[in-house]
Amino acid sequence: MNLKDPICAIATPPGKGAIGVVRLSGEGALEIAARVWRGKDPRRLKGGRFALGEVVDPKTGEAIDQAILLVFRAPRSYTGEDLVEFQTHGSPAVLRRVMEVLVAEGARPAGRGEFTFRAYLNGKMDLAQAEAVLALIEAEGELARRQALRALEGALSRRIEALENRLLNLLAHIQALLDYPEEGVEPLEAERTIREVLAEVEALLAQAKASRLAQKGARLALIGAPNAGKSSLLNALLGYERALVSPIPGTTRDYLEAPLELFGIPLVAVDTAGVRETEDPVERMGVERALGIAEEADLVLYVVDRSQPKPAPPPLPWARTLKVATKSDLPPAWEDPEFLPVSSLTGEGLDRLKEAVREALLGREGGEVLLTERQVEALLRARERLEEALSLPEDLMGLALEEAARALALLTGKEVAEEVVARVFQNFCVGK
Amino acid sequence: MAGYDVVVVGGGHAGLEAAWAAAALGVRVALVTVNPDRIGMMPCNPAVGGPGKSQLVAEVVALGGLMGRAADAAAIHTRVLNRSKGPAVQSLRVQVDRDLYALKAQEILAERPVEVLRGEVAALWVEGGRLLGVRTVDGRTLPAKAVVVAGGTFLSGVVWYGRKSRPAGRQGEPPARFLSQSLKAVGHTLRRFKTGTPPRIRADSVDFGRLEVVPPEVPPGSFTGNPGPHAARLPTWQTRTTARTHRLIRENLHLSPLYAGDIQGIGPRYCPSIEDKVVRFADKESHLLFVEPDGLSTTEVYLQGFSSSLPPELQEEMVRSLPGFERAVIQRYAYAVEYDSLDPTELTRGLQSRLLPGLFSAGQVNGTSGYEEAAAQGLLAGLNAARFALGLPEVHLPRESGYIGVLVDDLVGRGTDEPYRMMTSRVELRLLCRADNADERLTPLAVAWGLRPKEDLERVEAKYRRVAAELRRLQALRVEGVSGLQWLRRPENTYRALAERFPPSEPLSPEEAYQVEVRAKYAGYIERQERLREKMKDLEAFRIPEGMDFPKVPGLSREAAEKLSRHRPKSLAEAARIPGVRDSDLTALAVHLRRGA
Repeated sequence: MNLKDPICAIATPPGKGAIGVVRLSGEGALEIAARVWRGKDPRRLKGGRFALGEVVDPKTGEAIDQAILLVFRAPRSYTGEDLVEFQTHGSPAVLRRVMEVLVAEGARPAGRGEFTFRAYLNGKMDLAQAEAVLALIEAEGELARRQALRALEGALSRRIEALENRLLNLLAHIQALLDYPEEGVEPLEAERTIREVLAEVEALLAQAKASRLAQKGARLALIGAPNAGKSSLLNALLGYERALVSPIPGTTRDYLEAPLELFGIPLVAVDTAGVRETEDPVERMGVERALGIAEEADLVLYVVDRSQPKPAPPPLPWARTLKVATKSDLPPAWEDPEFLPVSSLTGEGLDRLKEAVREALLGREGGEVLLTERQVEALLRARERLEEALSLPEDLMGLALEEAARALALLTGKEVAEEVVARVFQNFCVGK
Repeated sequence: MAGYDVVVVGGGHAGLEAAWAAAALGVRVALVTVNPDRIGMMPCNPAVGGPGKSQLVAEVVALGGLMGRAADAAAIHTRVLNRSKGPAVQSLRVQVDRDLYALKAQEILAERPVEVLRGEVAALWVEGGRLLGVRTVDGRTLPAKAVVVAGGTFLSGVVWYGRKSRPAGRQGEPPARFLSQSLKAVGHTLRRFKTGTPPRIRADSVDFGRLEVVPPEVPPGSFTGNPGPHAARLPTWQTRTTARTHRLIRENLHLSPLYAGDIQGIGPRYCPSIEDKVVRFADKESHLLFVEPDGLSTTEVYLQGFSSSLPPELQEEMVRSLPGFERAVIQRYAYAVEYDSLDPTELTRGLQSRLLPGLFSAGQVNGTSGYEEAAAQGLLAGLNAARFALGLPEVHLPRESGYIGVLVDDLVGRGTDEPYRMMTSRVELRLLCRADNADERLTPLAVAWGLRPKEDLERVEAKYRRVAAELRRLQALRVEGVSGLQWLRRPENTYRALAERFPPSEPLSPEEAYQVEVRAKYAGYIERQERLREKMKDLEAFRIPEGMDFPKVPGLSREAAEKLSRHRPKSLAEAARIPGVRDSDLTALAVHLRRGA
């Protein structure tokens, strides 16, 4: 636990809302905010002031969302520390990305009740409120324990432990070399082992992404030419008239969103305006917007009318795009096995489409691996240190790997220093 | 007879430093030992330092201790280990002349008015729950305000040669037969620990021509900056076990008291006997052995790596199976020793008994192993014993302050199930707590506590002012389009090369130049460790009052309450290091502490 380091959390309730709020508090909050912000420098803002701009990923320069940034300066903030609030669009995908860049820049996802706890520590709260925090900790501590237990059962637990095990053995090897430099400990193939451990961390994180979708919902975009049948498909998926369906191409000018649940995955389906070459400035804005939405979506359905000649494909993120051929009840104008034929009218192919969506979002394992935020954070931190360790001399490599191991130890409860000492003597014949 | 302020029991490396440090505070100190001629003796290998341990010695030196001075004066061979592996793990090891070391240690001790008394302490003199001094076996009473027990392996010591045993503290020396009872009567928990030592071979029976030579480094290294006159005098050597050695061991394991189950004591993992190595690493065909000269005249060599508790007859055969030792004559056989040690979790971080005020302990008695670990504790215990006698509060070295801090925190905070050895991997902040900056870290404390004169601090401060000034100069300097600091950060560049091209107005000493180089090259990692240290300090600032009723703290899990009640941490930082205590428990504890305040 740390009492001052920068922490961040999504402050708005889970699910889709008009706006979403991410809070960042602690020492260095303003500096972190400045790194992920394109707009007026938050470090120059007075307390209580706001600025308009964009949240960006400083690694790629990619803009994540337009947002309002509010600055509160210590002690005049909720926590009594420097605090920055980002107000973005309410999409869970956006909020998640904002959290990701904040964590990548050095903030830590807050523990349960941690904002409140800091407020109390800094004298922003009275005793009665503190009692409430305590009750929360008690209740949620129990819940967290049960969750952690459940999460650590079975396959995941074995994988994390195997990972930790390799890391500890590697660390023990380095330490055996450093603490017993003369005793003939075999030289280390550190780079190969680190790369192998890294690959496994990546694999777990990829699954984590799938399981976070399962927990927090995903954003699904329907993209296609005007009148390709996107709105009808959305209606068929939803089972009621949601989008405005009309035979006039380009009816959906902007976009429509609808909540949807498939196999327990909360989805936000976005039915975009059609994508076609157009002179109409209003419609063209809609097209650009549609492509932008596709970029942000977790999964894209590229919807094409099979009864009409096949149009030239728009620029889409194809790696996470499913191709759908609509109006399969009509005589086909073309055949393409990459496209999934469906009919919104008869319901043909809808079940297969749902299954394909589920698989694309959760992977073939069906998202059995559920990773909590804590586990994801631990893996992210471990990954960062492992990548760094690759290029370091032995003593610093040892320190970096030790931090990686500590991150994983948060999940397994192992005592890193003790484990390493134990393994030095178990695995190596050293000591005189 | 007048009373003492501090009585130190034992003249080993812990007792020496305890008496030396206590005397620095101007109190009246007596050191009681069975054999005053053997003060400062090295019962195991004739070397000081090595990874983890050299950092302890550097801190002892910075705190005004005597071990570094004695080792440098008696040095016959030095090596810097891990030279290429980074500043955090570079370690000096000094081979010493065994007799000269003891002599130098005794000479240094004589610089302060410590009364050395011959005798065996039989018991603590306790009346009405108050410590009044000690009683000796021959019936003397020595009144004292504070007592430091530094009995090494002597407390109810038993030595083993094969399956035969006899009471002894070390080879040829009687054990402390009664003191254990006294500690038990106070309420301390005693455990049996075990350690071992290899055979000593007559030097003139060894064929050195068949051994691999390890020459001493020139110029020699030192702990104090003043290498002794013989510090680059002698080589050390290496040999290896053979198939015949391994067969002899395997065929005769039943003769070992450990494998036969006679010894119950817990031995250290890091000091395995040759039997252990052969059994546990059966696929290794050969083990490296280090042949260390005992001194300048080298009448005896020490066979490092060959400790054993097999019977003497067999040891002869085993030794003769080694290349270069075909006609070797064993002068002293290897043996194992079992002894009492107390549970260090019953001590304060000033190494004072929680059960009897004024009683301090240090060294193997507290469950450690090694001269350096003993010396470090002796210094802290002696200092606090003197402060106790003067009515001053205990002083501590927190974990983030360095190796001694980690040593004490591990011992007192978690306890140990085997003799504890210092290792670099135990120290989270090892990049900040290097041997080379021990002076910067600890001289201010040493001066504040009266262990070193004020002038020393002025000298150290001047040194680091020059280092800081040079770093500022390099920051402003432009070299090949970048600042001097950035240029220095490139792995292929050195400070020496930079200073040649852009010399400072006054050249830096080699030590100062090294500081500049390390600080420039490792700036990013040092900064990260500094943040970690701040975090440790934050939690340290949350003090937990003595006698806190943990089960009554709302929100604490039962498991955590139990563990906290057992370990009795003094701060949130200490609580955080207890296995099984979670962040949510710390939060609950912090809220509770805040509420009480």
